[in-house]
Amino acid sequence: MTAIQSVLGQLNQVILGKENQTKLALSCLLAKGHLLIEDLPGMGKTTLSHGLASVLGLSYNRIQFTSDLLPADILGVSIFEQDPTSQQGSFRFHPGPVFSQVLLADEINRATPKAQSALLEAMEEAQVTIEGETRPLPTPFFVIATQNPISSSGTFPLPESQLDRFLMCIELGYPSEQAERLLLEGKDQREIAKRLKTELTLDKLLALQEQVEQVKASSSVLDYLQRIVAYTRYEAGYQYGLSPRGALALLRSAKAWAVVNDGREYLVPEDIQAVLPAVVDHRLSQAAASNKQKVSQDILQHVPVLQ
Amino acid sequence: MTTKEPLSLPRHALPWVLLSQSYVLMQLVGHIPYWIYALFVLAVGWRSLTHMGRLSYPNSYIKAVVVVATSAAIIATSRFDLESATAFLVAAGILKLLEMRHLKDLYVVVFLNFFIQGIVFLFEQSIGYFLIALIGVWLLISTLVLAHYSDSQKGRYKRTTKMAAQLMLLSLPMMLVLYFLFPRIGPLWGLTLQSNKALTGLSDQMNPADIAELSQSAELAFRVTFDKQGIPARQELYWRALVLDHYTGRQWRAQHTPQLQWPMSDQEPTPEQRSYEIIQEATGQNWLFSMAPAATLERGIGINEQGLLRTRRPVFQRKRYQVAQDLTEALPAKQLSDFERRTYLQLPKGYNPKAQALAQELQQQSATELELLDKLMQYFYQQEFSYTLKPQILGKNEIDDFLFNTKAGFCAHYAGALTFMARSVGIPARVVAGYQGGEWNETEQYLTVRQYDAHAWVEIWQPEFGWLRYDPTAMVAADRIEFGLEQALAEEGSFMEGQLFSMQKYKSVAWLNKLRISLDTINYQWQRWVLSYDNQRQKGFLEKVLGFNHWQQSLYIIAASFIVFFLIASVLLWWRLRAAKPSPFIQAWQKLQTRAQKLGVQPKTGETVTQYCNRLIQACPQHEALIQSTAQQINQWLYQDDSPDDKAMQEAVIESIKHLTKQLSVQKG
Repeated sequence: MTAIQSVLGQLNQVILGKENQTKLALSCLLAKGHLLIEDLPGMGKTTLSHGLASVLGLSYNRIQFTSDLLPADILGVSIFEQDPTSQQGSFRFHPGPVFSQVLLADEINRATPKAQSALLEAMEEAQVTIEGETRPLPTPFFVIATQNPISSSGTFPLPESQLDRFLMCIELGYPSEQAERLLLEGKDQREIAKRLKTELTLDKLLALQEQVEQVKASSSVLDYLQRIVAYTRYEAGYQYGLSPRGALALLRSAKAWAVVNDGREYLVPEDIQAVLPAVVDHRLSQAAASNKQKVSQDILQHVPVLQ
Repeated sequence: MTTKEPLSLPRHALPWVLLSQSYVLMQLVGHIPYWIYALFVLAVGWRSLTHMGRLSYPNSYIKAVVVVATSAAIIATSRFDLESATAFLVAAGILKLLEMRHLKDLYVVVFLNFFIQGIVFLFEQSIGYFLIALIGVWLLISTLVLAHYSDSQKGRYKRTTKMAAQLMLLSLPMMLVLYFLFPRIGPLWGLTLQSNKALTGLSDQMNPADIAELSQSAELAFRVTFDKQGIPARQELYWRALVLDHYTGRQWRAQHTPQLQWPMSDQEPTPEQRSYEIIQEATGQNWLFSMAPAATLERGIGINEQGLLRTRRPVFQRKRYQVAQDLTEALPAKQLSDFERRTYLQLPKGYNPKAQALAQELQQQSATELELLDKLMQYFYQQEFSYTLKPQILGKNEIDDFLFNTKAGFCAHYAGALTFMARSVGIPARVVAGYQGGEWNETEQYLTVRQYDAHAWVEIWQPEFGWLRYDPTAMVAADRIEFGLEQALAEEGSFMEGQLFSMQKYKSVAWLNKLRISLDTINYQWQRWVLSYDNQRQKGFLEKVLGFNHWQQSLYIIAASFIVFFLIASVLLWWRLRAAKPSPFIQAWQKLQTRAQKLGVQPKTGETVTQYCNRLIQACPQHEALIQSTAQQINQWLYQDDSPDDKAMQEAVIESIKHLTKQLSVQKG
């Protein structure tokens, strides 16, 4: 049993009947991307992110986003401290929760845009600048954010620029009947999540990330990927198409999927198709607002694999 | 059965329809009634409000009222000429805006505007209007192209206008073929263009006031280029158009219409002739211009006993023709017939007794008629005559009043007075009307004669010499003959008075004058090489250059060039499609899919090889192993080895696909 399979096995103990989503979540982290989990409250978003952090054995912080959250609550703040003996004082930086390897931003769209954008630099550059001083974040650095559907009350939708910084956006959806029965019969899933075994060391995680980068993408696969990109830009009639960053995200995710799904060393079109909904839908849903269909479905039905 | 709703009008096309229509209509300012523009503004306003959703389309009741009112207004103001016909068409195009709901209505409006754009050429043909019309055509084509873009496509305006320009460039070869070869048929319906519009120019009755009015006009009369003999001296540039033989006491008229002689064929000028080419603006008259003694070189141009050139039909379009001047002799000296003698001695009874007395007095002092004529001319020089374009009103005995009282006037007065006095002592004389002088363009070597060069002078019969030219104006205002009207009026300051914006008025501003001359040069070349390519010239071109001798041949050539044009287009299109032909692998794969279709496996877009093969296995499980190995082979070749250019591998893959295809057909058989 490979390390990946055991990680997946552990995760599937916590999230029942969602093998595809756990694979996507793991692929996202192996592709060094940030993950956004979108669903209604109570679908297991938090449980999944908990589980991921503990299985991968990474240091973990959680921020509950609320409407009165301030940037300093995320990044940290300098406080004047006085030594009671010497009576001399100085400003000392108290790092915020962002200084961890896995940051769980729970219900990210309940915070104001101001607080949301505090995460921006951290997510893109793995560093934060506070009071003019740039501080590096620990490596690896993952943001796993959960959000309620935009239509829920009391939410501030993430702007497109911020959505684009999440490599993938997955939905969990209702569990199947059998999974639900198991859930009802079993113990509290969060309890299980806390007691999950750590399956990976940091070195192993970095090695896996390296393996993902080594996956070979043949010219035929790249042709397919470029046809997808061209379709979103020129043919589908969307307001805007996939950006070059989006195209790169699609390629990286597909490579990670190839590793996670069956440890392949080369890419096949099925890998792209598997990650397509998670990578493309949240990037283009606003561009294709008039379409009833999801963007990924539209692409899958219209872009030929061979040409 | 469902009725199909016509394609709707794309919203973003409407502003372009309105823009292009405004552009086309702007060119007709001055040719159609101004209230039509008010109608246009109303229609545009209404249609724009409809566009914004503020107003609905007019209902049929309103439409009926508007159509009836507009038609009534046009008929009420109509003179049943070209301009009212144009107004009618324009109004129809404007009202169509009010019911432009669908794409097909847009076609009607745009095509109508193409037609109106063509009509503009009936009024204006200068190169400036040609360039303006090019932009108009470009706007109209852009509108058509834009109507076929969907609303949301970005950069569509840029692409549209670019495509329209490309289309115009592509049609250039066909345009040239049609220009040179399409038979230039005269108007079949005999619509005399602009016949009701007063054309500026001479008339066959000389009223001093008319010439005074002409001299305020800088409109072009004609242009002349000379052969290698060169241009004669400026004092010799007397362009004859009319002989006014009859004096009524108030005015001089062309009464007698002499016999015309028509040459049987085109002729080359002899070495003793100075030939020159004239491009004449429309006059609405059948007279042409020439210097005495003139000889006709072209079949369609006749010459009469007065040495004047005539055409069979009035000149309603710009005309280009070749004339020669005999350098050897004066007008053929022959005897005047009794009729001619009577004609050229005619005088009304009881007019101008003082002038007659003066002529008789001078006659007694002279020995010969030539001496007498010299004395008459001297009289104008010695007395205090002055040249003015603003003479005082003359009394009943005009010539007496002019000679002894006001002593101020211009060519018409002097010519009339001299002719009168000559006739009163029995010397046959006649007034000649035409133009004198012109502006010489040194760089392009051509002469421009404008309306203000209009002039009148005298021809007097001498049995030994024939008709001799006497110009009394030269005795009074030598500047008029040697330098032109502007110099002659320098003191009076009445040259182009009231024409503030005429460029002619600002000849003294050097750069402006240079610009004016350059513009004139461009327009001249345009007229000479493009506009004057008429029926006759086309015939010459076809016969001399292409060796055609029948007009049907040019129709064949036109048809042939259309075929060639479309053949080239098809070949180019085929070439492009050929370049996009799928690779041999894809072809084999598609054949497999076509074959499998008969087994009920429909290919889906966006399906991978593996997914498709899995479905194929379900349809024919007996070939599972073969199908799977083929799929694996394809996947390995395409994705694992990444060797689509490896010929051997490709051959092997194609072979397996073909094999599988065959197996599938065997199963079917």
